[in-house]
Amino acid sequence: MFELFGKHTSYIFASYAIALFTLSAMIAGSLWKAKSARKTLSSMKTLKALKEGK
Amino acid sequence: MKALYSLANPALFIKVSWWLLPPLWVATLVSFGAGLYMSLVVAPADYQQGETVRIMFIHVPSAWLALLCYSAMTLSALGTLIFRHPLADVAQKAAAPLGAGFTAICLVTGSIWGKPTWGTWWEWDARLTSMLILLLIYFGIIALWRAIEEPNKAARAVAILTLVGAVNIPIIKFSVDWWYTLHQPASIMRLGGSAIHSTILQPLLVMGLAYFLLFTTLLLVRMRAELDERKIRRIRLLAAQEN
Repeated sequence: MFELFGKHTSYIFASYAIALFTLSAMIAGSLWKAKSARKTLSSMKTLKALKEGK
Repeated sequence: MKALYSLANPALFIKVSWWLLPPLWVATLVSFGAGLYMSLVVAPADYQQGETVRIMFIHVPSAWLALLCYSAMTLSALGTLIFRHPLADVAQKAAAPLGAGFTAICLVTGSIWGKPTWGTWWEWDARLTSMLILLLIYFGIIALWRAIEEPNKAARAVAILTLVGAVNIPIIKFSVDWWYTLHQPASIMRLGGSAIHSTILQPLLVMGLAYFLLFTTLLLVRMRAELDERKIRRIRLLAAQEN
């Protein structure tokens, strides 16, 4: 078995993997929320401008 | 105070945060790179715990941020109820999922660290149980935001829930002093200075900085998104009224 940090390597890797995965999910979720809101707002503004004949 | 109120303007916040975000992303990335390198390569093994001490570098900062996030939400709750600060409830709504994420990381990595150190994945002791309660409070706050459609009503209800839940913060902090627990007592923020050697303290502080920068960056991103979503809601309501 791959034992970079001795007999507890699997515990160390598991905890780093879970932490980094959760942090990545938090980053992805926040960026997706921001992008989705910006996109909807921008299309609504375009639609409003079209309706007003601008 | 006047400056604080001028910063309360959402339009100004959007402008300032647009300038702040790029350097914050770079600083977060650099500090995470340095923190991970120091934690996994530079830091020595502990004389008692051996290599498992490396779990501390991701576990402890997540606990700090879980508590810091809730403390910030408590201030925001006061800002909503007392000062009616226009960005207070926006910040509170944006922070709750981040706080829940940091608390979940703290609980899971703590559990993994507990197995080789204490011989158990979980123990119903005061520190672990109060952290689990914090996670449930975060879930409750997120659920309440989703349950009430009107943002102002939701903000007031969530602010009250947040203030009630704030009782748990000193309980978490002092649980290791008030009760006999399996969890170790405070070793950094304590009277008489830190009990941790500098070779282990330095990576911990760098990771703490990385977590803090990530929290600040994501909070700004989510606050901007929340402001956009409120604009969308206003446009939809106006359109519905016109029809």
